[in-house]
Amino acid sequence: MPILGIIASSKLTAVSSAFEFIARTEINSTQSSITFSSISTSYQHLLILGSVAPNPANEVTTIFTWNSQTGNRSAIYIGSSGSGAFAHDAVWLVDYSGGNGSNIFGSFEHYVPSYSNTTYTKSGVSIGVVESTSSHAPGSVGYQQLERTGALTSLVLTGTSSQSFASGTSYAIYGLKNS
Amino acid sequence: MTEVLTKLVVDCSTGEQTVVPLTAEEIAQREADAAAYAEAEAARVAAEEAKAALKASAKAKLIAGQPLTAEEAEVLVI
Repeated sequence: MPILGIIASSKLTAVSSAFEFIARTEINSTQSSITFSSISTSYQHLLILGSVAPNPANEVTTIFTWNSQTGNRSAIYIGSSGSGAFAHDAVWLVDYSGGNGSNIFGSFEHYVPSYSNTTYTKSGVSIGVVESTSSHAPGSVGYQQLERTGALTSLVLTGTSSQSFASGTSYAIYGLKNS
Repeated sequence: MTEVLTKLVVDCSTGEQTVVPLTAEEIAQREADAAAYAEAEAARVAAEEAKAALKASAKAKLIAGQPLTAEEAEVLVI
């Protein structure tokens, strides 16, 4: 059961009993990016799950670009460098995810409350983990802000450092309605 | 042979999935994102290293009974 969804939705007066499946993909060849288009606005909140392996194999973060908006977005993360925790400002909506070895998959979940609202600016929260071949497999939590009041209807996922997504990488989107 | 960068497009309304080549604009954005990420990451690492160096210097001066600089004192104040 998604953890973030429970936390973020606990302030709502009533929510539906479960997240509803919207779309999923598992790639079978290296891709530079993955686009989810025509996301229905019939839900109130979104949950995106990812299991990600980068190509070339190295640690990768996933950049979230909603509705092609590359400006007026920011993020902050609390993660681990291997020698201790750190807070990190970032210039994009990103999640730490992805493995740093061949065929190793990191994972994350990213919750976007009120994504279909047309009054509020948008925000997201995430938790993720970088799986590793070493003893260091850092987790992270993140908060993302997007200065946009329009509904979010498309999402492009890309890796940092010009990395692509390796075969086997999968993403899924779920929606949650207020009842 | 030049590698053709592609993206996977998932139409959530139909479930259709299509692999298409990146446009020149998308490739440029990808490169800009990578450069910006590298710059931000380098700045984070540099700041982390500078703070660690200041702490080490402050600790050494405290042990030796020497006066601290304002910057060194700052990293010791919680």
